[in-house]
Amino acid sequence: MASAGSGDEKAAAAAMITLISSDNEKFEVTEATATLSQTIRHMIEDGCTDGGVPLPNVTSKILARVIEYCKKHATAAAGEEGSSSSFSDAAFLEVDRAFLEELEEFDDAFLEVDRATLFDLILAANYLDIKGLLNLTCQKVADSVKGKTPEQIREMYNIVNDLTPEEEAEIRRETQWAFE
Amino acid sequence: MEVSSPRRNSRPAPAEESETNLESLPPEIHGRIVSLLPVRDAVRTSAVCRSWRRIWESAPGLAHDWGYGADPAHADAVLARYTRPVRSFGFHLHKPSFRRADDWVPLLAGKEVQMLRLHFSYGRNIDPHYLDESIFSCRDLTRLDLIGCEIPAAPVGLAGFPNLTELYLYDVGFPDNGVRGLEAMIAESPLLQLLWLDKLWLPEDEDEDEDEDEEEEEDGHGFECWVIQAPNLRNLSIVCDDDNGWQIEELLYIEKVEISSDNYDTDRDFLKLLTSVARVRELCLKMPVS
Repeated sequence: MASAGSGDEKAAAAAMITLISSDNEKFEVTEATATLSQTIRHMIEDGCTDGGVPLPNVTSKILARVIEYCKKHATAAAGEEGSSSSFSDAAFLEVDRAFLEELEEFDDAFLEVDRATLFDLILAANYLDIKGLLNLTCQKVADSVKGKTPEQIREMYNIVNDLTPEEEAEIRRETQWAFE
Repeated sequence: MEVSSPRRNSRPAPAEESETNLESLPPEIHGRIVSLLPVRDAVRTSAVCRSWRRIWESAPGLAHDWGYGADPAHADAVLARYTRPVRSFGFHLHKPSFRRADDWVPLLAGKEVQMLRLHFSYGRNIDPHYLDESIFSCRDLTRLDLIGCEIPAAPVGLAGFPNLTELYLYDVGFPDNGVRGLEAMIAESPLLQLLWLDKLWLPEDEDEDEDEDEEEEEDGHGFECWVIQAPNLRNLSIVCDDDNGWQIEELLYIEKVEISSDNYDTDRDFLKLLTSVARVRELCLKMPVS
């Protein structure tokens, strides 16, 4: 399976795909970058990418960021495939480790965005079905909620408490241990 | 490359910018976010607002990982309300509560548990917990981590786990079938990549004193010989005070081996041992010459 995959990668290396944002901006990306999105991968498989792929749910601002992420991680995916099929080589491991660290730094820097952008990235990752990006962005939101009280979460994200006092008391009684 | 500068204020974005907020994300995203929280935090989100009230109960992949000192009743309450398959469950049980595990294991088998960590407090005056046979019904396990318990004989044909990649056993015994139980568990888990065996209690061969004519046994301490057969193993750790009779079949993909044994069998064939792990990148043998 690995050998077939790397063969496809090579063939795909030259192929370019045009992505079209909701505000009609065109982005040329390699197929390897584009196919980090399962949604686009399926469109390519179905042969319906001629003339560009319209992405009516994604603005150019967000699409530019998503492509930035995919470019970086497509390189990572290609590297992983190479190292797993070749046999044990300590130098390879070192390179892998250094690259993984670089990737982590990239992800951290990538997440330095305002909340609205973060949520737009989540929506785009969900729509484009990019698992890594979806996990990364959702984890960022989860981390911001961790250790917070319901009041703090509401305040942080402007959420209106529509529970009646009785309902809230009931919830807290049922799972009192979670609030201690 | 254009990189937007981070804005650190928490005021709503200006009108011409995106107005996406947490509430406007689709429900499956809420579920995903909650599933990434520690279980206590996940349950606490039920008091944020009405639409969040039951998110955690169906958040796919929520890890039921309970910290040291957690109350088993809380794990019960969460399991009772959680509607999805349980990806991960971990608990450290203390003596009076050991039997909680006998309810959890069959329940978790039915909930397709993939990662299971059950630690039983161990110590000189504590009898190890005899695990429920339903442990072998957890057919979806990818990771099993047990401390301080006894593993019963497996039902026929269910000795191993078809998807298991990581097996950690510490202070664990196989009272019913001894080394054969352990040997079969490893051999019948063909995807195993990591094996960590620490302070296992394997019964000494009772016949040893009277008759030493069983020539296939290469043991000097009275342990039956048993073989680690794990064709995909990458990582192996064995810690044992006395050499308990382990042998290794050739491991083609092995990367790291750590073996620590104070009283190893002096007849041990080191050439055979090293040959079986010849492809290893990292090897640590702590087998002091006495």
